[in-house]
Amino acid sequence: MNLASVLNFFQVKIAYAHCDIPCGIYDPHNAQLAAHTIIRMTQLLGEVKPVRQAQGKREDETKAEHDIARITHVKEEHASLLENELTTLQNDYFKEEHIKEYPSLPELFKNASRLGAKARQGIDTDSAQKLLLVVQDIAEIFFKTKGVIPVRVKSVYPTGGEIVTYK
Amino acid sequence: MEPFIKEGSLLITSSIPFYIIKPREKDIILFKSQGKTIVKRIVGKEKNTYFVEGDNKSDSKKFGAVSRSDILGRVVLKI
Repeated sequence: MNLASVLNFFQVKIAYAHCDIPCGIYDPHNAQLAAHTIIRMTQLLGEVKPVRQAQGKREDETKAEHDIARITHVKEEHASLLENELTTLQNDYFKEEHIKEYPSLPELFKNASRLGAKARQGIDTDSAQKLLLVVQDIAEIFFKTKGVIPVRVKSVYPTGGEIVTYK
Repeated sequence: MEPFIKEGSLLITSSIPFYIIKPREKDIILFKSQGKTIVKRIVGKEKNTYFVEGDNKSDSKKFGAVSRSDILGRVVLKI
C-alpha cells in the first residue's frame, strides 16, 4: 500500500496558510508616495530654524522642538508604511517566476530595507533619495510583470523627482 | 506558516483533541474563514475567541479573532 492509496482512504482537503483575502490588488504607488514623504520630511527637518538663530527665546525653542517631533513622527510613520507596502509586494505578490525573470529583485528589496533603516535613523537626504530610486526600480519591475509598459513621469510633489507609473 | 509548514506540506488534522481539551496557545489549528480552510497558530485567547497568526510574520497580516465554532481541528502530524 503506497502513500497515495492511503491518502485516498482519507478525506484530503487543501488548507491555506495565507490569511489575506486573495484580492490580487497590488500597487507600488503607496511605496513611492511614502518614499517621497520620507524625502520631504528629511528636507523639512533640515529647515527647522535652529534655536540660536531664533534669538534663543523659550517659545521659539519649544516651537522648534515641537516641529522636530512632528516631522520625525511623520517620517517614521511613512518609513513603516513603506516597509509594509514592500513586504506585501515581496511576500504576497512577487513569485519565484518573477525572481527568475528579474534576478535583481531580492537585492533591490534588501537595499530598500537597508536604506529605509538609514533614512529612519538619521536626517539623511542622500539615503532617502537612494531609497526612492530603489523603490522606483521595484515599481518598474512590478509593472513589467503585469504586462504593461512602465514610464517615469515628473512628480508634482515639492520633492521633485519622478513617479513610476505605466502606459 | 513557514518555516514549520512549507507550501505543499501534507498535514493530518483532527477535531478529536478539542473534544478533550480546549484549544491552547501555540496549537496549530485549521479553521473556516470566508469559505476557505485556513491553517494558523493560536497566539492568544479571549473568552470563546482565538487570535491566530502565521509563523512567518512578514507573510501574515493581522487576522481577526476566530470563534470556537469555526475551528475545525488541530494539526496533529506534518508529513
